[in-house]
Amino acid sequence: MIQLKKLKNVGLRGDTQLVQRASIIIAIVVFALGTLASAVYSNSYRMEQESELSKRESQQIIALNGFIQSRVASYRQALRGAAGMINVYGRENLTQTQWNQYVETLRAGNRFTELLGIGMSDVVSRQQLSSYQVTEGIQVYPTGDRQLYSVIRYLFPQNEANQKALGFDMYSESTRRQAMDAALETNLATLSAPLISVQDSTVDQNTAQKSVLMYFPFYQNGEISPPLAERKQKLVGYTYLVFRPHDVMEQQDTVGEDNNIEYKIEDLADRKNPIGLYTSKNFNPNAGKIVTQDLGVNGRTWRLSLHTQQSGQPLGYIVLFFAGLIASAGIAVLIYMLLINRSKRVQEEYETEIQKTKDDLLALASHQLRTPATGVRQYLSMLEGGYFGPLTEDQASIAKKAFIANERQLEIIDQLLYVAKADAGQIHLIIDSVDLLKTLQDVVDVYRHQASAKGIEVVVRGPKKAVIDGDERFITMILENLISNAIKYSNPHTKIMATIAFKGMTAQVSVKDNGVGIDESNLADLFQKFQRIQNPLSRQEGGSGLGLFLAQKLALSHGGSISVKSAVGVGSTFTLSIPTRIKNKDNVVQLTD
Amino acid sequence: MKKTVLLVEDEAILSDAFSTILKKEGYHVELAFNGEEALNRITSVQPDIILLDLLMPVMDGKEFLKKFQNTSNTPIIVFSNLDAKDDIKEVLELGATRFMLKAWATPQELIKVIDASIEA
Repeated sequence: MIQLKKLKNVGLRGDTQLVQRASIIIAIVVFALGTLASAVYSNSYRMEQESELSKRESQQIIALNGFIQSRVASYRQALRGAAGMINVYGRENLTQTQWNQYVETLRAGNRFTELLGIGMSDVVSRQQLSSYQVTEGIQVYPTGDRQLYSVIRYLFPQNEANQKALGFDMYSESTRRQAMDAALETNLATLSAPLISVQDSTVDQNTAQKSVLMYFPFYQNGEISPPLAERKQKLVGYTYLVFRPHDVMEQQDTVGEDNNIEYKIEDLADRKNPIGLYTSKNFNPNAGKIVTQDLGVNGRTWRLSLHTQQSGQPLGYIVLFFAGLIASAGIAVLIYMLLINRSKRVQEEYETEIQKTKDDLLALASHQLRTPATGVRQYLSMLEGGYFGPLTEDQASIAKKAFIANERQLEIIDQLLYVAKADAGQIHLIIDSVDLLKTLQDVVDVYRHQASAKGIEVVVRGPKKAVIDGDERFITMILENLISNAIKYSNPHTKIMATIAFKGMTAQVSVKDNGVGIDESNLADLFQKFQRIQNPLSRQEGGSGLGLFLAQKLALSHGGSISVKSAVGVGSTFTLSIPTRIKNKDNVVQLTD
Repeated sequence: MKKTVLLVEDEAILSDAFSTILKKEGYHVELAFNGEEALNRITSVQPDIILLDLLMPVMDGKEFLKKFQNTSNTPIIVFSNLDAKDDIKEVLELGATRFMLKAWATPQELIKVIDASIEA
């Protein structure tokens, strides 16, 4: 009984195209997910970086504000102190020397050195002007008839520019006037709007740094805080100081270039036209992100604009994203290849399994067939041989026909077994020296009986030293096939020429018959498996269709081949070409293409 | 005197066919259906020649050859459809006298070979 082996469950098998499509889809999904993950992560990284930056910038702003406020507070103190000193001495008694002493004390430890000047002005009425000029010995300018004058009386340091400033009526200039009036009204130290200082009057007005003045009023009889209604009346003068915010900010060293921070400060009195007070060296007005904070400085609004010096940080998250992208692509490709590979392997395993089952089936069937075929042969032989009594002529004829038919069966079974073995890679060439002439003659001897039965003469020709490398069994099989075909398809009483010739490193065995011949249209399929051509003799002669197929495969495994030339009604010449030397002596006969 | 042939063959078709031929040719035929049966019966049968198939259940031909102590030097013809050169070589080394391919043998050839082997 033939038992069919059950195929193992091979899992992911099936249409290769389907598998490929599925693999692509999976790979794309993996890539998409990876990209998404990269985007999310790199974005959160970016946001983290940004919030870090924001935090730092806030800290910088706080630091800068702190600096400004503390400096301005110290200026207020200085002016209050000056006013206090004047009250103590009394204005009439105050001298330049005392003023200087006060300021020197202030400046101890190198403080307030950025101030252009720290001074004092007398507020003088029109009536008092001429006597004031005489008493103090200074010329008030600009000349002109005005209600009140706020005359610079003392100014420290006493350098050339400051000396020139003595006598200047600060009320005559609107910015100063406004600041002084505001100070009087509030009784607080008040900052002016930015202007170009007198000290900078000789400098290029377009590039000069703006200055700011701070005023603090002092009153008659040392009164500190007269009620508003009386203040104007009791006003004696102002202590004041001048500084360039630029110079002040230059002294700040916590925040700046070192930590990649750039900033500028503007006075925001006119929101449409802010006045620049300080701009750090590399401040970039077109920077990506500028943080602003409006600072209240002594009643004025100073806008602080700050940005971080770009140093390629923002690109960090882009790099991260692309790294993730590339990694995802890599993984996706890897997964795709793994899937394809696995499915390929599974497919291969499956196909090998199928092939093996087919081979086993073929071999099994062939072996099983041999037994009854052998049995039939024996019984027919017994009949023919008269073991069971003599046969009539007709009986003998039928028995003979049955015997011949059975021989065909056995031939076919032999060939099937060979096909099965070769498919299973079980047929190896055993290379040895083969005497072609002798082999050919032996084959012809085997078939002599069949040939003479049809009145056919087989003539063998060839050189005596026709020795080549080859597997004798298989060369014999090839020659048997060629000779038996020649006899089968020859017309009776014709000749078959079997010739051996050498052309360089190739040996050629030609078998020429004068038989039915082969139509050109059939030539192409001649060597295919199970190919049998319809010709007048094919029904009579029978055949499995495996002979030429096998013969060709055996020839190919020797590195040679079988070719054919034929004409219908004339005959055919089959030529076996085979290399005389075989390099690879371990050839397996391949029956699959 | 009739010569005795011990025919060791598991397939009924062939066992029947060959024993018919042998009987017609005047031999006495004893049958065994596998190697084990052959071993058990050989002392009682005392054949002049053994025809031994290779592919058999329970105990195959090669096993039989290994286990059989051929003290009387009985000729053994291995009679099989296996035709690999290695198999042929092996059985000859294991003590077979000769090898015959079952499928292509004719009764006449079979008798010729048996006669020749018994003579030898």
